[in-house]
Amino acid sequence: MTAATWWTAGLAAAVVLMPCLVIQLRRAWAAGVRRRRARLRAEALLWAWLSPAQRRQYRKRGWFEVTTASGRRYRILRGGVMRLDPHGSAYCIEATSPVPVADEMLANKLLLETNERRFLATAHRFPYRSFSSSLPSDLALWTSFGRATGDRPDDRRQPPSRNN
Amino acid sequence: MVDGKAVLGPASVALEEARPMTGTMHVADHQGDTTHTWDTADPRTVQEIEELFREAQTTGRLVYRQTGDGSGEQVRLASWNPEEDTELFVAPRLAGG
Repeated sequence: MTAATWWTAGLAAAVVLMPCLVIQLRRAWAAGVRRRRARLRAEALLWAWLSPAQRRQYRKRGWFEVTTASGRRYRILRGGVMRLDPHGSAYCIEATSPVPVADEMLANKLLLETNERRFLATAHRFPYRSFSSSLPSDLALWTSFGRATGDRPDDRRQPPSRNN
Repeated sequence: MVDGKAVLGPASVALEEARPMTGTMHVADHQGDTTHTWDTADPRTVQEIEELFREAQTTGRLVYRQTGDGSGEQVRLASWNPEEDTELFVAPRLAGG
């Protein structure tokens, strides 16, 4: 086959495949938009249910702390919960349906604040170190016990208005 | 429905003389949340919320009402007051990961 034939065949294939590619790209883009919209809605809802102190922590560090009726302090992170005591327990608890992580954080906060026993009965407890190593490296460093009180660059945006 | 009439839940009863009040229920889902609003002047909207309440309770989801700045309290259909508890959150069901 000559180069011209190859070019023609390639062009024909591109013409045929291009619409499929465009459809796939559009679908992926739409799914991304939906995910982003869901994340923003969940962030805004969480924001509306946080106390002023929790908002400050969440804006600055991406996590917030909860003090339960028993006086224990927990830190609610994206992807887990830590109990702030010398033993350094961590808890893995997640939603059984697909929801944005901010919804999960709000559910954890409310459960801890209203029914710590149920939280402890539901969540899986881990030694802190194994929890830390299961997180992405930057998050693990950021949440590292003892360093968690340190500053982290404030890279979080202001949660969106509910009116958006 | 009983004899073609909707069954009123505890919250829909005796709303006629109350002052109209609107509220919002946020149901956590894959879209972030879906909001459902009610107006105590319209018992149909309150019944819809009661139905969502029942559904949530049946599926083991907890419902919270906002009690103050940054705090919430678990609420059940039997104790829900649509005139006072105007911000509700239906949390996703949680399980140990």
